[in-house]
Amino acid sequence: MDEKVLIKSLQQGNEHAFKQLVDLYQDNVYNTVLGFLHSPEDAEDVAQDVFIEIFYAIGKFREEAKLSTWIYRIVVNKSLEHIRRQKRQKRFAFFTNIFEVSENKKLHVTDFEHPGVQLEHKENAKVLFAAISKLPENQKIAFTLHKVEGLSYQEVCKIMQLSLSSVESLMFRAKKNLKKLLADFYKNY
Amino acid sequence: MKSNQEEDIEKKVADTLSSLDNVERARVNPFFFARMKAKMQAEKGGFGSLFVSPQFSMAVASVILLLCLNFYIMISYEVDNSTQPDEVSAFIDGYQIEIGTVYELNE
Repeated sequence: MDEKVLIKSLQQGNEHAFKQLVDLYQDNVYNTVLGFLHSPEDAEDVAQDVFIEIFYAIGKFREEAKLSTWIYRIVVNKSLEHIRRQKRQKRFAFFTNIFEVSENKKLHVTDFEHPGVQLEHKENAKVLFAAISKLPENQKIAFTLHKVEGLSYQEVCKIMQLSLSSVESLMFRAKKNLKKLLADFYKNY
Repeated sequence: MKSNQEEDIEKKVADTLSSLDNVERARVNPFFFARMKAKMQAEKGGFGSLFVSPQFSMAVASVILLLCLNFYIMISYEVDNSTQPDEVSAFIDGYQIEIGTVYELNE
């Protein structure tokens, strides 16, 4: 189905069109959310929320951007919302609060394994995902969209509504920060 | 000149940074759509939505308002009762009414 026809059908509340949209984008949405959240359960939950939001908000979609760009924007917003909510909950935890000041800069390597990473890179990828979670928000978005979801710089520009030079600068700073975080981690390893 | 340890760390950092090169896209669970549909239905007509619906909120607000009104009337009624004896005695004193006993009336 052509994208315009699909959008029209979705705006008319056609359930078959919605199923088609989910089939088309479910892996892109899930993979990107997983890249941000590093938890398969949370990623599935947030990916579902993304499609529910699309279902109810498609009437407001004015086709100023491509459908995929609009969907990725919802993905980024929902993922960041989830991360902020988790941080707020952690802030209330008594023990976390005590150790937060000293532990904030340290990498906490979790058990998360991205299913798309090759077996020989799994251990390194775990450390890299821990380092990505320490990046500032905009650098995290640019790096995740480009490296995990495999989007081009041009696509990242459209999603983040930034110029090409801004995205290039974000990627440069993200790599620089990651190098520093990883070097610190391996020095104390 | 870099030490062996520094070179080792640089290599580890480079290997780690390249670990996401050629990463394949993660795929969703085969029951993703069915689960999402169930979630949508639960949000639309579930027990939780009952509390969010404007009709239910209005009904609850009306009941609470009626209960508050009831409580207020009960309290003010009690207050009136407690002040009544003072007012009556003031009235009696003011008009110098004397209530005689049965024996006094017979005299």
